[in-house]
Amino acid sequence: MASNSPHNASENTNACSAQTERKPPFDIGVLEQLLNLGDRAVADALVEQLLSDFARIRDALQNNLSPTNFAELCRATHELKGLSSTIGARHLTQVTELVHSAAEAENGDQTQVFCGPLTTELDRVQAHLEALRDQGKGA
Amino acid sequence: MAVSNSPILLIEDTPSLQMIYAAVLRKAEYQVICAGTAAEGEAHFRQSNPKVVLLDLMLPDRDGLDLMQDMLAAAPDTCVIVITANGSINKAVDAMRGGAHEFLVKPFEETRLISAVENAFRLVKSRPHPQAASLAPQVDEPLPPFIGSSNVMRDVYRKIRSVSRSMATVFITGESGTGKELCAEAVHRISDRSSGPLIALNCGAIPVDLLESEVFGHLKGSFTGAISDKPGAAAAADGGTLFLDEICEMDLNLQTKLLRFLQTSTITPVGATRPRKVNVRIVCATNRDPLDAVRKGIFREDLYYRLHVVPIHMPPLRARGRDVIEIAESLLAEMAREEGHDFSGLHPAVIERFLSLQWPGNVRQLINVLRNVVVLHRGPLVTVSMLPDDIAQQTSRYPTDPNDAPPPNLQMASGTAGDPFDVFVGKTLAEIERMVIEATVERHQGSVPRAARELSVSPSTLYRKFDVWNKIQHSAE
Repeated sequence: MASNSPHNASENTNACSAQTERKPPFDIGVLEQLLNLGDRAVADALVEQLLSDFARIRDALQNNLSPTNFAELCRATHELKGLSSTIGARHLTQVTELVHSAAEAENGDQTQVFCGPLTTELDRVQAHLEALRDQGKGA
Repeated sequence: MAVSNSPILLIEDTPSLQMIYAAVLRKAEYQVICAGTAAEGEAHFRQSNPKVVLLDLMLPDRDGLDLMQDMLAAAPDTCVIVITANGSINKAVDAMRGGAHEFLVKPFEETRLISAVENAFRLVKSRPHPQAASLAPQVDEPLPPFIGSSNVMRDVYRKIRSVSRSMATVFITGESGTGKELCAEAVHRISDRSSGPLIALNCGAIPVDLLESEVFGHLKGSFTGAISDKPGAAAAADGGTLFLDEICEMDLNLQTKLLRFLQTSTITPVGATRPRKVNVRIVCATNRDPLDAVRKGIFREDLYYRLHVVPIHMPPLRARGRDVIEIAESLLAEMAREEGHDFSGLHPAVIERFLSLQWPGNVRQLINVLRNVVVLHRGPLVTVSMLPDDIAQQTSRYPTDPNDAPPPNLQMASGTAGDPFDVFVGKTLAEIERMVIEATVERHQGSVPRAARELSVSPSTLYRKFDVWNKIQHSAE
């Protein structure tokens, strides 16, 4: 992030999309709004914190998938639902909802099946956030 | 910008979300104290005595609802705004019933968060001094203008008084003539916003084409006949209560707009380009079974869960025991005064008759019966011979209460020895499809999304079908 102005936040988020050569995993408007809640330091800290939270949730998912711990999977997906929807990562929210429902129903097969797409989408979101962080650092 | 200098306690365990909410609040110039666990939140609560708490219900070390109960027990005037993820609405509803001021469903907009916090601080400021509260009547004492002290009505009085300090939406159900509008008026009158307006709107009585403009207002020239700006009921109720009667009759398109209004606390009048923020408490009523309306596709499920926060069921007159006599004697005295006739009371045979009747029209029917008697006779006692014929002759109770009737649905194979498919014999494929869908929705307690998941179709497919069936039914009527 070059500066804390909305204009520059927009340029950054768009640039990240171009790098991944796919439709961005976020609703750009939502993410921009969040990154402009405070000054640059706040925006940088928020991106770092998001990366840290996503990594923690990813670990929780992986650690509880085999052997399956449905209660912990429910907790992790519940948190991921709230977080992903707040930053406008709609597809991630949708896939997370599938895993959450499967874990709630204690359906091991479905949980395993849906965790694949969830991990893929989580990768995309993390990659975009990392690109955003690296741009902010002038990488 | 901030409505108060008092700090807000934010208890949220996901660090990024905590950071985002705190940033939004600080941008609006509020002071924020953050906690990531229930234990940390409890400690801050004791130290700082915050008036407003933002509480995530899912915490790592303790259930958010339990924590809320402890905070409200220690400081009942605290306004707790609960935060929950989409799909956990039931938990939010439990929280509202447990005394939460409001709830926010993730993801929510910045304006919604600020609006909820502003409302909470306004409420804190407007509360009467604690000494005044101690002079309040017992919670289940009759609440004028209601008459009657039956247990079922005491429960109603208790609920009305309990919701008085909350912003929670009240959903009143009950048969026609049971006093739903009186209940809405009582909720408003004893609430913290009683100095504001109470605006009532009958969703069933206004043509669909005009309803949006009636609720949200319009600008001059926005459609043919809009000769001047009109504020609309939602704007007129700003600072007060909006009573939406016959809510289940509201057009589905307008239900979507009402849902948006409830989520954002903003209205956009017809023809306007900018939304306007309003501070309104919603009280709604219906004489239908709202869940049944959801099942039939005429009432949006998401709107139902938004509105059905504190349900108050107005009992039918036949379930209120001797209240019917208390009400009759009070009405008789009032009507006799108005008509200038000398009625002093009810003959014991009339009392017996009144107690045995079903009163399908409830209090409204009782009023009509007594008016008829007082106008046509002089008194002094109301006797059976004075009663209108249908009342004088009607002695038996209805064989069954329609509310107790079993749901007319698939009872395939359960307890029957025959072929489980017998129930489908003679039915068309379309009829069978409808039976299966309705039975599936019912098995999921009215949840269309869950039924859709079981049937491997999207919820919108089911909503479309409900819409078609509903239109067919309406055209047949």
